[in-house]
Amino acid sequence: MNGARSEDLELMRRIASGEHRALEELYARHQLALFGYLLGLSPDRETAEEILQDTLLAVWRSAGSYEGRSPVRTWLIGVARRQAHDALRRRALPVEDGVDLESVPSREPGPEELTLARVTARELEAGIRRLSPEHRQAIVLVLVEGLSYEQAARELGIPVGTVRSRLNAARRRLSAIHGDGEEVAR
Amino acid sequence: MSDGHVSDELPAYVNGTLSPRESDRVRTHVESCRGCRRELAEWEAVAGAARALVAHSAPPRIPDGVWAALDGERRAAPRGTRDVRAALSLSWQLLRGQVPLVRRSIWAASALTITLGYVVALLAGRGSGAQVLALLAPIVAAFGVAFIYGPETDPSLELALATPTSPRLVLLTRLTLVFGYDLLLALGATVALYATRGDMSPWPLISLWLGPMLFLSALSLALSVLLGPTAAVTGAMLLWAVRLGLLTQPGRSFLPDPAADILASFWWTGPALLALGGLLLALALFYAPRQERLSRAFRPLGAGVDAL
Repeated sequence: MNGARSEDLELMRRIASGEHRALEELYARHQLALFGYLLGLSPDRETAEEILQDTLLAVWRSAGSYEGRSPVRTWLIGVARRQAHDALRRRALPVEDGVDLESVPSREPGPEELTLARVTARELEAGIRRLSPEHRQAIVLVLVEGLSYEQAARELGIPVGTVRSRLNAARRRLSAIHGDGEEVAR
Repeated sequence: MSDGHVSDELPAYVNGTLSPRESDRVRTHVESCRGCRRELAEWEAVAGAARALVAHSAPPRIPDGVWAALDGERRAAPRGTRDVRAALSLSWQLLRGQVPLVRRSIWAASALTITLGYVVALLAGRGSGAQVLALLAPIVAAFGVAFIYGPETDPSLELALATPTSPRLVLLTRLTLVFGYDLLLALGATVALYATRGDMSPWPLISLWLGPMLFLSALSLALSVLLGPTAAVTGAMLLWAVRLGLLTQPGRSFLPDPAADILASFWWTGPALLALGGLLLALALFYAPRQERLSRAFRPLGAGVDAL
């Protein structure tokens, strides 16, 4: 861990001194965590990529003020969070859209039903892409970024109970998508 | 869920954010509940697919838009002014950042000593009384500078080592802070003395302590970096004691008179003093990173970084 940490510090030093390649290397090291986080906050992939660009610019400009008190990844996520909040506030996106939760009936698991575990990974991935932003964000923040329900609730600005219900609704929606035998992967 | 099923907790179980007790509860329940076991498998599949989604969605390299924006920035301002502005802003950030890392006692001790010198000079009457200040200012600065950097005295050294700022820059910044502060104190006391006594120009007094202050501080810094603050303080005091000997007892100097004259003239603010001081400063700056490498042999970087 110390080796990785000192490598990160060295990269930050090089970025602060103006080396482009160091920024590329830093992005390569933290790309999934950083983009996953943005995907977990943004309404769609395009917005996430725009905010990623803003974030990388901000990282470049403020690398000199990084003091090494926290791990680089934590600092990066902090920069990303600020950029995401600014960008999303500018677009005045609706905070919550509860419609999806009503339209999907609750189903008890039964032995005859197709289980998501049997769907191919590629189809399942395509299915997740089709989810509403709220469902996708909950899944990405909790299952990819590894946030607890409380942390995810804080990041999204919603109650903890809503995180739970969105996750459940997402799973039911995925079951609906794949259980109907629709062609999902194109 | 009131019926004992753990559906709600399964995502947290999958990503490992449940407490050990809750994890055990889920694990035990899942062993005996087929429905929840199937849901757990579904969540694991979803987690894998979601990770693949992120991996496939993330741009493989930094998007061109970022580089375009950076180039645009550079073209926005003429190169010269942008560099100056950036350098000034960085310097200001550095200075502000280093202030809390300098030993607190330096500020108070220096101010107290200079004030004492001012009072004594005031009471001592015209003429030689003012020289008290000239004798105190350089040694006060030398003491302050002795303690600004080094493993024996720097609780935040690990912090400095972990920052992307070079140790030389840190050293230079702290030197600027401490010496600048002492310089302002000495100037203030000199001007105050001139104002209250009104019969002397401040310039001769200033030139009496300015050169020695620069030189003694550079010497103290070099000794501190190479040998530690104790050596720095001792060296500065010894040298200064010799100088005081020359000043107050010119007739009874242990050196033959011409040599004593040369030495006495050396101590005036002049090129010889300043050149030697500059050399010592360069020496200190050159050795600063090496000295920190020595300290790393005794305290591995990991220990400090983990404490952050």
